[in-house]
Amino acid sequence: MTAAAPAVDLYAARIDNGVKVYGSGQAQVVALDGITETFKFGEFTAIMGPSGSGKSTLLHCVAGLDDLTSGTVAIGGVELGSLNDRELTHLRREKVGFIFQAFNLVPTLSAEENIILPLSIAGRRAEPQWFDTVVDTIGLRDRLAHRPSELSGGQQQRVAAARALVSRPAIVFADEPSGNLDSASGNELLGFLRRAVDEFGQTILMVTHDPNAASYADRIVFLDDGKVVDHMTQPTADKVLDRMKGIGG
Amino acid sequence: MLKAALKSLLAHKTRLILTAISIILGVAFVAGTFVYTDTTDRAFSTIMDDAFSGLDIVVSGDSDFTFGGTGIYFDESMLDDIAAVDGVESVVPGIDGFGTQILDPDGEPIGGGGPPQLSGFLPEEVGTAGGFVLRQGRAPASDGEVVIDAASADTGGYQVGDTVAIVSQALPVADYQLVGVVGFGQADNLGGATFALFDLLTAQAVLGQEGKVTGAFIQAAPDADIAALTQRIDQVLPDNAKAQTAQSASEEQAAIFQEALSFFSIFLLVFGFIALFVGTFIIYNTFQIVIAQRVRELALMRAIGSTRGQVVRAVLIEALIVGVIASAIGIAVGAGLSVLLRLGLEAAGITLPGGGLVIQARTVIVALGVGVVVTVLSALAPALQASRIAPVAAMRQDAGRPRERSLLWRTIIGALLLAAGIASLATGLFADLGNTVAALSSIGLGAVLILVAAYVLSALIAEPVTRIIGAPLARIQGVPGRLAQRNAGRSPRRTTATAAAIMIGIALITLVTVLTASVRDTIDDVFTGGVNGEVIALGSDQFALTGFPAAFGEAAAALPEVEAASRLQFGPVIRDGSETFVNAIDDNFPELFDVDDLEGSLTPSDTGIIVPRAMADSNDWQLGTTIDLTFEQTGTVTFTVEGIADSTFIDSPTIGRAAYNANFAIPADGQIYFRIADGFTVEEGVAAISAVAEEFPTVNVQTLGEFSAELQDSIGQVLSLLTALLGLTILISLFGVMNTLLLSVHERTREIGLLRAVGLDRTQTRRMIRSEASIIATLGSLLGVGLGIFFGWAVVQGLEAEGFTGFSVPIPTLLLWIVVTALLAVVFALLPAWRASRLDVLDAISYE
Repeated sequence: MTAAAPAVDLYAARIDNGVKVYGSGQAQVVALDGITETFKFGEFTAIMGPSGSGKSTLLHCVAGLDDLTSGTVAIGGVELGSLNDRELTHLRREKVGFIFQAFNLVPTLSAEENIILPLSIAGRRAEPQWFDTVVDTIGLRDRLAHRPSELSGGQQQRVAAARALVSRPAIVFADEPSGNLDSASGNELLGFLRRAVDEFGQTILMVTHDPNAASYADRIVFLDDGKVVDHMTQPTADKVLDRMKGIGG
Repeated sequence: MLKAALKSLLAHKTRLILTAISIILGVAFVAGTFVYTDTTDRAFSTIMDDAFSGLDIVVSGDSDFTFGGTGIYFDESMLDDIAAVDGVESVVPGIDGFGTQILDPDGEPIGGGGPPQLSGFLPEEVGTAGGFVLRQGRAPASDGEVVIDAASADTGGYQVGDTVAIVSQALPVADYQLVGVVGFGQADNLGGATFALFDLLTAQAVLGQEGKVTGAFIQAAPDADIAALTQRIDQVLPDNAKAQTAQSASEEQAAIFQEALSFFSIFLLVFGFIALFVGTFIIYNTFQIVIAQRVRELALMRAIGSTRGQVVRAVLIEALIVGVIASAIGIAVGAGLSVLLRLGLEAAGITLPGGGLVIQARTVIVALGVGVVVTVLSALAPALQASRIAPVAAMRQDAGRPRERSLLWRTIIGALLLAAGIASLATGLFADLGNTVAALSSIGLGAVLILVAAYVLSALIAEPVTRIIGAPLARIQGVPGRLAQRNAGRSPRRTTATAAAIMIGIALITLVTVLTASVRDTIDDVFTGGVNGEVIALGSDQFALTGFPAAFGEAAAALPEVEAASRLQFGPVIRDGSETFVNAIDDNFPELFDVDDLEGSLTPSDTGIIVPRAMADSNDWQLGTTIDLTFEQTGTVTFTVEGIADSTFIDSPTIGRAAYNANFAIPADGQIYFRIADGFTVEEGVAAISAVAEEFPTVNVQTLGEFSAELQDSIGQVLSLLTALLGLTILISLFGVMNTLLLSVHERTREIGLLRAVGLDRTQTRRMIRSEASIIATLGSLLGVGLGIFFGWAVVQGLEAEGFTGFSVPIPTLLLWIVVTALLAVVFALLPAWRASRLDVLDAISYE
């Protein structure tokens, strides 16, 4: 693996021979079964697979929210296995953005405070220009002072997306970001993520089970039973749908 | 239903324990007080039964005085009269009295400062000696011999055979040979009182009562009818003496003792009830939060067919179980507490008879009842709230979030409570309710209502106020501080219920702090402003009201260094059926003390009396009005009001010196104030007067400044004791903070997970929770300080007529309390903070 060291910077994140096992004995479940995958800078990757295929586990492990049973994960050239909780937290703060399916925002903070939360936690300020760019892109300038409870579901997810981007992370992890939205709001959000990749060169890793959502990505990784079973580039919703039919029955 | 409640409880053991702690502590105080006093009572009764065993009839003074009485002295000839009664086999004389000090080898008095310093006759038949048990040596057989109590022997390092110096109100210092040591039952002394026991003649001389006795112990002939004999003896006695059977004398002694003890037990019980009052907020809050968390579960119960009543019952059963378990533990803890109390008092030199712990059915019933009722009542409102959850809430996404209902009702109820509280407080303080109990009850009720109103209304201001309190933290700590600031204000009801518990403790501490500061100010005013002198002489035990021989005052007044001296005396009397005090002044009074608004004379005749202006006003006394005073020694005497005056040293009805000496058994002086003559410094004056006092070790000579400082110190000690006890309620309320935060952390699992995911590290997470604790605590202590100052001000206003002149708010002390409470809250938040920081991020964000 020593030979890979200089090449690591080419990747926003990579997982090498990742294995994740839950439980032991009879109850043992192999969620990830030797996955090796790299996520290049400026690439929008979608991970798809049926329920229980390990796609969420993969996201959590690559994002440093969960640890592997064996194998390695690196983000922005830093291998996660050697980090303690504090270092891991600081890495998430500096190099990672998150968009979850729901409960993305801190209810006591305004939209603006939520957007700059990772920066504030680190004791940093947002670059004003970049902040303006992000806010204008998501189109919520007039809602900045509102609390999450005063925003629609779609607006909340867009605030979450802005938060994920504002610290210019090496990679943004999105876990079913449009899962709770109607199709119009969902498309709006996904379109925004697409623009972030195209216009700002942002790297995004998204887990979804929705072929339409996946079609916004540059590349799709198909998982089944904890293994990578296929890849697809330049996907369309129809192609994805066809491919999905062949997986997991 | 019971099964569901039990399961719910067991699923949350920490919550159960924390809720229970407040009940346990409150109940423990109540139970501990009962156990302690019952144990002491029983031990005392046993001692008394032993003391009078072998005796048939006891003769003693017949007076209505219980504590203040100094004993009635009868002529010894009474003993012959008794012996002459048919059926009397033997008579042992009894004599005892106050004001005899045993000196330690350095010449300093042992004991004092509250408990009396007694002396008396110890007969050779020790069984007839009022509860004394000879531990070493023998009874005194001649003059020059003494027996002292074991605690004094221990303090002075005396062994049988040593020489002990003793001084009394009547006799100067003299040496006696220690021939024995006594205990009081199993105790080394009785509640800190010291005993010096002599043979009969010496005892009479020490007490200055030659040829006198205070009672007699009688054995009847073997075949005598005790009841009839008691009556026959009673007939030969003076009017103010009585004969009773040994049994009833023993019971009477025990009853007096019990009453003395009840003062102490009421004091402790009040703290028990304050603890429970604080506890109600914690229980209420816990159940409120628990129900908010279980909205879905309860809604599901409703959806599948539970009635509202069943939901209420389910919650109340849970409360009942908590109440029963906590009270049971509280009773056990209380028993332990009573042992600690005994050890603590013994360490402070106050030993009371003890023995096996007495746990009466009453203790268990009251403690259990109080604990359970408080718990169930506190859970009632949350239970009713739970029953109003609509079944459809089970299906709603946002069911877990507390709905912010209109605060209108809260405002109205709070305002009504506040008005009622202030009215009740004002009535108690300013209206003439006729007796102290009614006034105190009204004040207490008013204070409770105002505290509850403050809690109810504080929910209205909680959000903005926590914002302000948290602003510095938000500035210093950044995100953790800002989140803490917002979290503290996000559910005002919960925050204020938690803060209210702290508010109560701090309000009471502030009240006693303000009152003692005001008393100190008043004392300072009195001694710097009200006296035209510089030096005071007083009994070395000023609390026991034991004075010193008049000979000292006469000698000191004759010194060239002394320009003027005025002698004051104090003594117990009964007026209008209740025990109180009478002062006595001499003709020099106006020389040394400021007197305002005088009407009539300051030199009363033998049957004249001067009354304070305020008392005259409220009792409608005028010059010429007659007032009856009952003295222990001489019975009821009628006095005529000859003067009405406003002076700090005429704070009770005041008679002349001659009248005092005629009506009290011991014509001792209480205090003497001196003005030093021109040409002498105060130091020279003190030195000269002290030289006279060499012969009278019961006299202390001080400058007024020293005396004032000493008084203020002793008030400071009372403050420390009260503060320590009230501090316990703060501890209880801090458990409430811990409880609320644990539940909040549980409730905010998802939010904390999110924060952790986006980069809040564990240290910051812990800081966030700790800061929230300090904000809640500060909200409570600020409200408490405000209310406490108000209560203090109200009480000072109410007592203005009693000579309360100062109103002082010691701001540094109160600020210190606010800071200390906030820091303690941080300590109590360590567990919830740790929990929050240990939440698994993944579990948290996938938490349903």
